[in-house]
Amino acid sequence: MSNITPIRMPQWGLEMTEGTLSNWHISVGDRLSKGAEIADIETAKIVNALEASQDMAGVVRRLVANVGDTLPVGALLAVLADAAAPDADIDAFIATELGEVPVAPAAPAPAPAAAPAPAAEPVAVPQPAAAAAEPAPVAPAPVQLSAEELARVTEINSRVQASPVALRLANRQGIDMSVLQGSGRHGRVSVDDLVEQAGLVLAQSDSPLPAADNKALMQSNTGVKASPVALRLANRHGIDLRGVKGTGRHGRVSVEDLEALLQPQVRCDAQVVDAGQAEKDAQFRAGPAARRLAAELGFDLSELVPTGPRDVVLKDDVREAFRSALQGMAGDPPVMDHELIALTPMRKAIANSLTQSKQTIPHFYLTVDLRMDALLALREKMNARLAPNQKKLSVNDFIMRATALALAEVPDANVHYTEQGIKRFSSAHLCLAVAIDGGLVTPVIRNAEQKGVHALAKEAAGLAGKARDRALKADQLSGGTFTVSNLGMFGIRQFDAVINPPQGGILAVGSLRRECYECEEGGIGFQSVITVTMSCDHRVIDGAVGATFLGALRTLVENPYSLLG
Amino acid sequence: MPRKTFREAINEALHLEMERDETVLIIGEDVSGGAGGTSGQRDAAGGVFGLTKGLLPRFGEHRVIDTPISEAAIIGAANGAALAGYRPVAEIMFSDFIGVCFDQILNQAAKFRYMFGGAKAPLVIRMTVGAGRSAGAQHSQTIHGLLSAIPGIKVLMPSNAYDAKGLLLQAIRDDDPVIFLEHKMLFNDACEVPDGDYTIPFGEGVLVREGEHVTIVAMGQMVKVATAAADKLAKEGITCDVIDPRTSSPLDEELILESVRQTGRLVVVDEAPVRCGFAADVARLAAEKAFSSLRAPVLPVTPPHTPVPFAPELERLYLPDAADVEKAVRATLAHS
Amino acid sequence: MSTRTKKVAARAEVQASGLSQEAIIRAYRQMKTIREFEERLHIENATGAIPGFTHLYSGQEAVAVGACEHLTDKDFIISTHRGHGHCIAKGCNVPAMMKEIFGSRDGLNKGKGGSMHIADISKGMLGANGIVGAGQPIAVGAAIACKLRGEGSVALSFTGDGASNQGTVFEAMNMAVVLQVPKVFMFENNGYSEHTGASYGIGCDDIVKRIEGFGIPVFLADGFDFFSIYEAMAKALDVSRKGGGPTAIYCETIRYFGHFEGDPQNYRAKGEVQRYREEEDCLIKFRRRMEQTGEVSMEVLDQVDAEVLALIESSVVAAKRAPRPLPEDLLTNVYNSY
Repeated sequence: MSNITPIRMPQWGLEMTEGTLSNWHISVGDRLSKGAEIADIETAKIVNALEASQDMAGVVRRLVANVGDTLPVGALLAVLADAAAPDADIDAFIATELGEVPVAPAAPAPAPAAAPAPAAEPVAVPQPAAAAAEPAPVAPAPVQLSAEELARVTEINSRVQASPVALRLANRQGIDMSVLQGSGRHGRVSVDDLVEQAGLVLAQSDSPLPAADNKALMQSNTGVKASPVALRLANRHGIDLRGVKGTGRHGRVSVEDLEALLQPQVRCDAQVVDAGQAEKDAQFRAGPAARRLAAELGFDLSELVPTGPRDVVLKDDVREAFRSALQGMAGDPPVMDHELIALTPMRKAIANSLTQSKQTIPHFYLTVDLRMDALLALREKMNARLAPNQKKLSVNDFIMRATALALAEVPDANVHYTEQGIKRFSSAHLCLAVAIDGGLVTPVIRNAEQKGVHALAKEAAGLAGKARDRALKADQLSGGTFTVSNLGMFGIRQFDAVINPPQGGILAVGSLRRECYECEEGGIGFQSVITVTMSCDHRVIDGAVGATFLGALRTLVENPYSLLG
Repeated sequence: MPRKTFREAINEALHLEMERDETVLIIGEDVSGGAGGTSGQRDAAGGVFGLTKGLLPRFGEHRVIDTPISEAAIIGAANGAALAGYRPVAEIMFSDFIGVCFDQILNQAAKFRYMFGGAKAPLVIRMTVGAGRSAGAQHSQTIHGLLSAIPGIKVLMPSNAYDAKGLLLQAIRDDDPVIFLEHKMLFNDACEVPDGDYTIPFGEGVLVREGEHVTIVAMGQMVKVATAAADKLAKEGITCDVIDPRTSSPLDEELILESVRQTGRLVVVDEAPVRCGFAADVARLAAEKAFSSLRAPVLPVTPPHTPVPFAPELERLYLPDAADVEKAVRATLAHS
Repeated sequence: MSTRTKKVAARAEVQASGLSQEAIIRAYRQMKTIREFEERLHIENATGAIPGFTHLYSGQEAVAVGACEHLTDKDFIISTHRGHGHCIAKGCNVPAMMKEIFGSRDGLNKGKGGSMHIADISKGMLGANGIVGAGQPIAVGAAIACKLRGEGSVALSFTGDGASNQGTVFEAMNMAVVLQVPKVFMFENNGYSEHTGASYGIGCDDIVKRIEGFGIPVFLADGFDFFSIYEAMAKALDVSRKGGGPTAIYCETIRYFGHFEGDPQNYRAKGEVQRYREEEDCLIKFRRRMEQTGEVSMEVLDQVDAEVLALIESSVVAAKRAPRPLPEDLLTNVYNSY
């Protein structure tokens, strides 16, 4: 066998389980030297370029994955080999490798990769997908093999060591077992091997059970001389062979003799009169409510697509069938009133994470109003000192600074919840929520309490830019201890944010507003206020701690010179 | 291909292997017979069921050893000879006698390799099993379940002559202690058995009948019972996978599970009562590893929790028959 | 009534043993090794360092060594639950034995057997056995193998007074005679079968008569005298090695420690062990005889003592440091292949 080098989906970061191939940088025939870009791969948060980690032997012989394919870590992407290696070898290698690799619908073409990522990742990742995506629910289109093909495959299979059930299934579906790797007892091919390597969809036998009134009939039909096919047809259609005149060989009943009795029907149970319908229905599993509804709406259970566990027909299935039927009856073809946007990896990741957060974390919310006048004045002064080309400081930059200092002051609010215990951090690694095209990311500013307002502003701007360019690295997205989310620029007065686990809290910052207040001396004055809400994980942060933190934050914000230095 | 009886197949296997490998010994009561008798004739029996006939005249009394009635010493000697580098094939006339030599199986043979950190004890113990000829409670048991529970030994119970020969040859060549169970009601059953050398690997069962609706697992004499039931049901369009695992330790779990995943219904027929036995273990296997495939409870078809009775009509009641299996199959089908 | 009536009278005059100096020193070394091995285990066991049960052989050394000095790696022995002495006498590796008893994966049985199953098949030591009376039939099987091989090798089993009542021992004796196998049965009556004296359990009070009743010639020996055992074994082997069928040796001895370590020994009179250690000890007797015959000097024996103590010390140290079994070891060696 030729020297074949696979290129596989890499694993960047422990949490990565799959990636989407968004762009190829190589073509068949290319020779790859160290550092050569191979492909762009998008994960939940990043688009990164896969590079050759060393000069690679051979040339690119086959690009196996397609642009837009989402594949698990370790999946085969491309194959390198000597230019002289025979195609058959490449084919065989790929055939053994591929098996049933799940392919999700192609994600919408992401923004083309910007500057190539500096770190070179190893190309060959030996580990198989640890948490592969669920196999696509789409049943493979059954390949119709000719009788000769089936016979040929059966002959080949008779010489392969396999479990008897695997042999049966392979022969039935025309799967050539000689090319498969057996992982059953003593290396024989097992049903699992057929599933994993040859795309067998293992379904439970759906061979219909003989109905009660058929059993006696079938028993008696066995006694009548008939050709095997005629016997099978008669049994299936409930025909009593005793009443049929046989004109076949030696007077046996032949299929032709039955033809007169068989009307062209699609479904075999069309022959059965209604009295037997209930009996037929009894074969199909459905709860009593579903059965009643089906009967009311005039559906035969056999027409319904069961979606309940173990193929049980649910009421919803009946309703669904009814709905489709109605649509069919409406006359005009139904108008598509919506557009279906496929979920990007990032969208899925957000969905998973925030759903888990909301479902498992006992959130509670503390709200305070921050009086901003002093800070606004300070900000104006500081911005006035900047050179024209320098980016101005925003209110949020100051709030981040205040948050970092407040966390350093109240470390009980700077915590993670873990099953082993509460992790209390001495340093504030602040996440800022950045909205990007298609979603949200939260890059981290490490040791924020050690960085002044200018430094924070610069770093935040840099991260936000990278975020929008999808150029963040994995380590820039992890390790945060607390998050600040600001919707002030959208005019949101107040909101409650969802905690990013495993963090203990998140601060939601609203927009600046003017409101009137009662002055100490009496009379009315106006002040600038921002409402902030802290969402706390009650498992690790109590009301008192949260209140203390907010108190510290307010003190810092309302005495803004404390934010400097 | 020639047809041979179960008895002939076993005898042939022993002849073949003793010829091929001079370290193979036979040891047991009356394996040859006639020693010390007044007729002066040796090989008077060739085993009480004739399975070891012709071996002493051919291989001599150093390799075909008649013993006094001392099961503990017989199996102990087999253990010692095995540790010392030979391949003894010891015989216990009736598996029920295992009581008097159980220590040599349970605590010695089964544990040598493990306790001694790797010692080899390649012995075979042949025993007859099974009820059906009114031999009574102490000569009719089928103890494959009991033995399969012991780690360190392998347990085989072929249901036909072809399997018997291939499995016995494999057993003698196997480097672990193997218990070879011969069902006394099958000795005269014949089928096609090749003349030459062939072996059957352990832990690989066969599909004796194929079907879609129910899986039936059976061993030994019960295979015939299961196939009779399956054939009758097939006439009505109810088809069954009938699995004969052939070896209960190691057990072809894979085959059983593959079939159950397809059919969703399992019936286990066994000649031993269900409590802590083979049938219970197979049911456990399905419940543990194919639960989501099951459409009906797993039904065991076994004798009741009694010793084997003597009177023929009671023994008939005791043993599962095709009607019992059929009833169980229908019961699984009737379940939703 | 006592069973211990077959004591061989001590010799009147002491003759030179007829063994070479090398053989004498070797025998002494073997006995001393067993003694120090067991005495040390008695101490270590009390600290809780040793898992499970141990059954110590101190006091009976002359029997194991007297018999095994005649044997090579081609001969087989099988032991009882009190197996360290037989194991050492058969030539098994002492440090490896110590490691096994401490449960290390580098032990003789890879940490899977321990004191009660200690074995080395490659050296013909078919194992200590936790089932009383199990070894004797197994040894008959090994003797069958010896007979088939035709090289004059034998199998030797050790049987205590307690085991001599077990049905399997009767079966083994009968089978050995019927099949005329090269088997030596060593019966060492150490006076106690667990917590019960031998005089209670042996109905006819005469083990020798029983053995003879099976048709096996018995050679009597003094269990406290290495040379007596050695001679008796030579006579037995003269029969068994040459196709004469099974033989037996009967001797009486004493165990210094309890049935198992931790046994309070309430069945023993006060001072009984002390008296034996002072007056009947086989090592003391060995030395005394050498003093009398002058075949080997005391200095040489002292030197052996020192070397043995050093060996035991280093074995214990090594055993305590030796690697423990790994989790995967749990599943190994159940079968050759499954």
